[in-house]
Amino acid sequence: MTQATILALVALAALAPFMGDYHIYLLTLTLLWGIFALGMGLLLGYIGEINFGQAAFVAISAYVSTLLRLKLGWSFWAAAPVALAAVVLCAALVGMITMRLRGPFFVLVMLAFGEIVRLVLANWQDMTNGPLGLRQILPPEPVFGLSFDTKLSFYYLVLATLAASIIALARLVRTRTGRMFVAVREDELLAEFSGIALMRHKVIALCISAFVAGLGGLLMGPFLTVLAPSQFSIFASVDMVVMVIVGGVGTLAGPLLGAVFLIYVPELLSFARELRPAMMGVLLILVTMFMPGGLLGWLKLLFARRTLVRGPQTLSPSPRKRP
Amino acid sequence: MTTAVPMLAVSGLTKNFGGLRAVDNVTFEVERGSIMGLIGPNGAGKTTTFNLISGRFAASAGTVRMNGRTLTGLRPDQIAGYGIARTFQGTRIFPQLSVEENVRIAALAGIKVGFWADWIGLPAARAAEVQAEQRAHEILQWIGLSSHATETAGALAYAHQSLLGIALALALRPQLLLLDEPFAGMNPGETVQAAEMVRRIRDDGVTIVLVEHDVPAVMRICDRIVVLDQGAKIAEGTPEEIRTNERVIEAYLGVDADAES
Repeated sequence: MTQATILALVALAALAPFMGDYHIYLLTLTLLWGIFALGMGLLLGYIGEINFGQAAFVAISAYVSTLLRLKLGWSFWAAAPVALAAVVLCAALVGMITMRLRGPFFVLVMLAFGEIVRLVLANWQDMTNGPLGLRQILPPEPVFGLSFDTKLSFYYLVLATLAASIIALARLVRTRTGRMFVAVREDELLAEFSGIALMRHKVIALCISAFVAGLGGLLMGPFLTVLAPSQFSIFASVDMVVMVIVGGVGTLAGPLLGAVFLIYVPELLSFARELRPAMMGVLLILVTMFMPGGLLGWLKLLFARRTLVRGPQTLSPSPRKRP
Repeated sequence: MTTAVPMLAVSGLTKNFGGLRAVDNVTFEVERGSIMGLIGPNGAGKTTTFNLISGRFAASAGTVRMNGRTLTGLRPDQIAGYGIARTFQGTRIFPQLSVEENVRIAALAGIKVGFWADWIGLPAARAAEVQAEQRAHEILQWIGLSSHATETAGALAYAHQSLLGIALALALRPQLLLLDEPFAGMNPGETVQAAEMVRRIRDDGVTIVLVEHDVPAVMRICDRIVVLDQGAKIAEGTPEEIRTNERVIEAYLGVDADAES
């Protein structure tokens, strides 16, 4: 599993120079969504909270960093830490309020938070240029002798960001904190009575998730060269959730697979844009009905079955039937 | 000279749910190293009392003190941190994790490590990890679940799940253990074994309070018994004293005859 992820990342790095601009663009978009899905994957798969306001964290990071560049002339690299700090601060504040809520209330309040952020961006005309959005966002300035003004170099920046996020999160979920997250997901009440500070861990998880979303947000403006409030609607958050569920909840590689499947594959097969939402819906239904472990779980099962069949003793009575 | 401060002192504990007084001015003390039984007919307020002690509900009035320190108003995780562990009616475990990981997480929860030290992997974090692993190993051995260590907890047989529930509580190294109906769903033979285990836990230095419907079992293993009826304490004493207490027989048998069928 870990090897497969590393292999995939290395392949993505190694093959890029041989791909055309179109594929580089598509892969950059996919990796960007991979970062978003990864952030959602931590929340949904490890602490067990679904967040329909996640796009707001992306938006805050994207807008704060871009506004600092456009209005104050800051460099990308100076604006980035400020934007990330803003995102984490927002997540901490919002989390401290919403994580007290149980059941559907957390979901509803986060959804409202996401919409509030979007409406502020759409209506604060003087600052954000409203629904027309911010335009002519330049690539990050060169740093340490690296420049990011070609599609390929920017692709590598996104890939490096994704790889760093995966490494950091893969480490996190193995530590005490990460396992306390899982305990909370498994049984909140038992976790709390076992001495796990529920609020603290939920807020920390939300902050980390928001930080990862923020990392992606930083890169969004320079990648698309425009930012508009409509990019950060609830549907963006829903997309992230779908990626996690389709890819495999409770894993880190799953959300990435989900992003590949929901961004790269449809574009590659040149599905009509209008069909994409419908396709996502159908896919979500199929996956939840027939592949509870998501695509990743299904692949693992497939692999396990093959090794079982080839092995000396076939222990499994009947491999799960696939529709 | 025995110490003047009891392990657990509950005084004037009261809980109102709307108009219903579920626990009514209950006072009792639990001596260090003893087994205390909390009995009473259905709806007597036994589990609510547990929930008040362990911090699940905030008390409407009264205090809970452990070793002289007031616990009232603290969160469940803080109370767990002071050395009170509990089990739940019908057993709670982390269902999707292995038996071993269940106990390791519970043990790890009891060891505080700074967030960054943990993430970066400083020696303190590694030490906590090793300690939790050892603790989990010991407890599984002690409770007899070692051979199931790698199984998924949710797939265990019910009896094993309830053992695991107790193992999770013990992983905290509690001074006081609250057992909520530890013998529920057990046949007489299993109850005898479980009662024996409760005694062994006490012998290892853990003070125990248990809520239980199986009155004969409670009579056998408890040093002292508190009887609740409709939220209020109606009797307290040794099993002998309770057995012959008229108010208990009246309240208990009167309701029991209806409820037991």
